[in-house]
Amino acid sequence: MINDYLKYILLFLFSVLVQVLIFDNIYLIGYVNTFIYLLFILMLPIEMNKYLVLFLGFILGFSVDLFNSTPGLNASATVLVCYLRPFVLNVFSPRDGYESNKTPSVKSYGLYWFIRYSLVIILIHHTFLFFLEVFSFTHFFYTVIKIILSSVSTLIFVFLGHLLFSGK
Amino acid sequence: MNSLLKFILKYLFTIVFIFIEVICFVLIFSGNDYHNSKYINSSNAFTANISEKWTNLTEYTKLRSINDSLAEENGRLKDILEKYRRDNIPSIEGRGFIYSSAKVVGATVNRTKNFLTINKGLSNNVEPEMGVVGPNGLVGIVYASSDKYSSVLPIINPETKISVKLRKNDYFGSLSWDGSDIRIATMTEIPGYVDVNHGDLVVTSGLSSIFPENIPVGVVKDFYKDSSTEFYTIYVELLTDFNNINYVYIVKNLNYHEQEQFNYTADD
Repeated sequence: MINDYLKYILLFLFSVLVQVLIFDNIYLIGYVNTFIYLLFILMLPIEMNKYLVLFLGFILGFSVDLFNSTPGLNASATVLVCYLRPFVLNVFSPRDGYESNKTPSVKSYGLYWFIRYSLVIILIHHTFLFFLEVFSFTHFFYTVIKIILSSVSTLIFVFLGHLLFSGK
Repeated sequence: MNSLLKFILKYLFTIVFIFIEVICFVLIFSGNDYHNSKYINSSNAFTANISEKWTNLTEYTKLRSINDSLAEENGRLKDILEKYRRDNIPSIEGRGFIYSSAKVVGATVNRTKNFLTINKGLSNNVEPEMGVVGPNGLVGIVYASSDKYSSVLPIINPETKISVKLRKNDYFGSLSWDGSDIRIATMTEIPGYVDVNHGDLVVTSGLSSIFPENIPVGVVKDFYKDSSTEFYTIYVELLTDFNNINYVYIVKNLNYHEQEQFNYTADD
């Protein structure tokens, strides 16, 4: 139990710090933004209290905002995916439902399930955040390409991070 | 009453969600106001401290390139100094700007609204609205300061507007960034009859009270003339490499308040 708390505190710190200290400092090409911090939301236990998830999502996004001088931006996108997460989990639920005490991981429900679940969350988050960031539809196609390429990049790194943290 | 309670209970999750989103949007829109967002930015001691520790830790891997760039800059400055000495220009007495150095401890480079964090703040006499330049060229403007750190609005943020000119013929324009490529900014307001070429140097105009005149900003990479307005849109390749920015100088205008006062009365 204590071990679990410790694991999620570590995961939170890892997600925020790797995001703001590494990924936000690396410029690949203008199109690719990686939001590794979603790893934390994606890996929270399936049956965790949804209000708690909402609250943690706000804290997570706000922490990233503090480092980036963008108050509210990451927080609002993260809170949105936290709100939608129960519905997404519902859509992808296995035929006989989720077992209790399982985390959303490849080990529990398979690679295909994990990729679909993660990709939907990532796409919603990126679409909301990028359009909010430019606050107009003038660069519509540029923004769409950015959403797609960034989602792929985030998915890859979230997958790698998930392997790191679901080892135990 | 009972049905209202039922309604609230039924949609409580959504209501809580909307409530938090409203808080987020209030933060976003108060943060957009240039003068209003003094509190939630990267200059706060907590996050800036973490960023600084990390920078100190990882700086060793970059020391060689930092050394090279500082040595190169020293050479350039010695050159200029020598030129002044040869021309026998008397020491500049009533100088208007003073420079102090700072280290970049944090940066975002691939967002639309990018910011830098530097390790100098109010206790080092660094205040909002001061200029920031790097070894190669212009970087941005101090945006908010805490006691020990400041948040900098770099050129690569769409809210930044810098008054610039073409070095060779002194035509003034305005430089801004469109949110895509961190190497390229856009210069506008140059009339169509002006002679513009690839490789022309773009420097600060000296019209604002933030930067002195003739600080290098970038070189003309590409340009086209808008047929309806007869004005150029010029793509300027920035001299500052935001992907590799370590040390900067803060430019303080000693006459800033007088000049601003003057501009203010002139506007009336």
